[in-house]
Amino acid sequence: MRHGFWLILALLFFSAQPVFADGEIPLAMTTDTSATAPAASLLYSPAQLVAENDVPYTEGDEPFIEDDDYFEDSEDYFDDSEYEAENEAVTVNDPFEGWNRMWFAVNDWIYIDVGKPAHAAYRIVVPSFARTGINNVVVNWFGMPRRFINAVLQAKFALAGIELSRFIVNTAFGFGGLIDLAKDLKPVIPHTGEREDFGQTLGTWGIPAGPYLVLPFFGASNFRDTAGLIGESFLPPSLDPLYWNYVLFAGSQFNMLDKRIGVYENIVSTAVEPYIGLRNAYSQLRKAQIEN
Amino acid sequence: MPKTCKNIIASTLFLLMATLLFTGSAFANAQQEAEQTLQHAVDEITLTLNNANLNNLREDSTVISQLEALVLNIFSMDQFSMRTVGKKWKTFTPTQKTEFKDAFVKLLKATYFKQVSNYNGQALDILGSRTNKKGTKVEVRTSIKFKNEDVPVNYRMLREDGKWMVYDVLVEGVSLVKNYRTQFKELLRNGTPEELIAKLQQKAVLIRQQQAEEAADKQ
Repeated sequence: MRHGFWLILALLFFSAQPVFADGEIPLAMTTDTSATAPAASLLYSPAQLVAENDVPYTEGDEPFIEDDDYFEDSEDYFDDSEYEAENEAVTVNDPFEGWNRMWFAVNDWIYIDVGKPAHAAYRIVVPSFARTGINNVVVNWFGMPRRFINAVLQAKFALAGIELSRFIVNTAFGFGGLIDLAKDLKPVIPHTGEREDFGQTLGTWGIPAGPYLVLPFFGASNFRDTAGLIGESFLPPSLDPLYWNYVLFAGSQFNMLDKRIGVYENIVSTAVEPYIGLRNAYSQLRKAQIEN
Repeated sequence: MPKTCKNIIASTLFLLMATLLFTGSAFANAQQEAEQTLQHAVDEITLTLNNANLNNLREDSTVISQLEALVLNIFSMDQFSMRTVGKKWKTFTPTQKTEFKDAFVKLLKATYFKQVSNYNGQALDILGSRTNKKGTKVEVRTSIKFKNEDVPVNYRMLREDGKWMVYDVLVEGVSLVKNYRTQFKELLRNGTPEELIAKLQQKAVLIRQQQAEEAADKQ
């Protein structure tokens, strides 16, 4: 378990790798005191990304600025800079495409040819209300502390408050979380049902997404979110002995597998090029989740 | 203060306020119109869905063609195709453009018509909208209740031939146009427009085959 920390550190380090891609060593790593600051900024700056991808924008009109004229249009029909620019930003970073495509194919087999029939059988044995109940308990007891901590880490105190009050209501009046009572109660502050995780927290802190990564079983991810996933496993509550955590996690994931496969199928079946479709959908989804 | 000076100030102030008022209401109109158009289209679609028998749906059922007409009435396929292809759209010949649009409509129809039979009175709530500075484009935020969860769906609309039309749909912040654009970009990098059209047609055929197999499995 100790090695997890170093793994996270390595992932976060490598997610910032494109910083060094142009051969420039950041100042802190050189002994040469006469070195001047590198021309390119150290994180993904819009200008740098645009330059990398040969999009004909000069530094003056940055297409990334998102304000009220979010979809400002000029005479040119195709000047959808928001589409072009953001797409450039999310598509390029895939140095492990071979590995990713391999796991994409394997995962597809796991989801569709193994998981789907297995879950169909599971549905016959375990009725719908039981599946929802199991999910509610897990979401209440194991999901809430993580969402709460991540909401606090992102300085979303209102959301943290909502999470806490939902937990109290569901635990006290919903048979220890078996019934999601709070869902039908209207909070004072509108709750959009967003769920914060550690990958989003890291994103809010300005850590770049890093290369796209398809994980075995888990599916689409990137370096930052993988680090978040590992980091989150250290957060409480934790069962004893440790492997029960993994059993619980796998069990709860399988319990709700039909939902996940539904989303997956929706993206993949509507795509002409499924690998790229999923990769883009994941990047867009994470970006939207981090922004809100 | 001389009278003329006062007059000048008063008239500038008046002009300023008038412009502010005018532009303000112009935006409000754009947003209102777009929202109303969307609401109207959704109402029509809901009415059709509620009145139709959704059992044993086939792709050539009358309900499906009715729905297709209604959807194409609010959803601008021209804009959608153009934006998904991007700059290379200019290299398409007029025939290729029509072929592409047809193939795309067929693909979308093949993928989404199955969802129609899952329709169970889900309603769409319009939450609000925002517009760009010129008031030429509007993004309408809505929420759809799907399997006990509120899914945020945003519709980006623009005025086409005097009518507000949807040109992009964002589900949980994932833009359909952006998503297809990355895929088409990859396919067009090495391929020709014909190959892309062929690929769209193949995919539609493939989906129909899969659905036929699934239907056969169930029986």
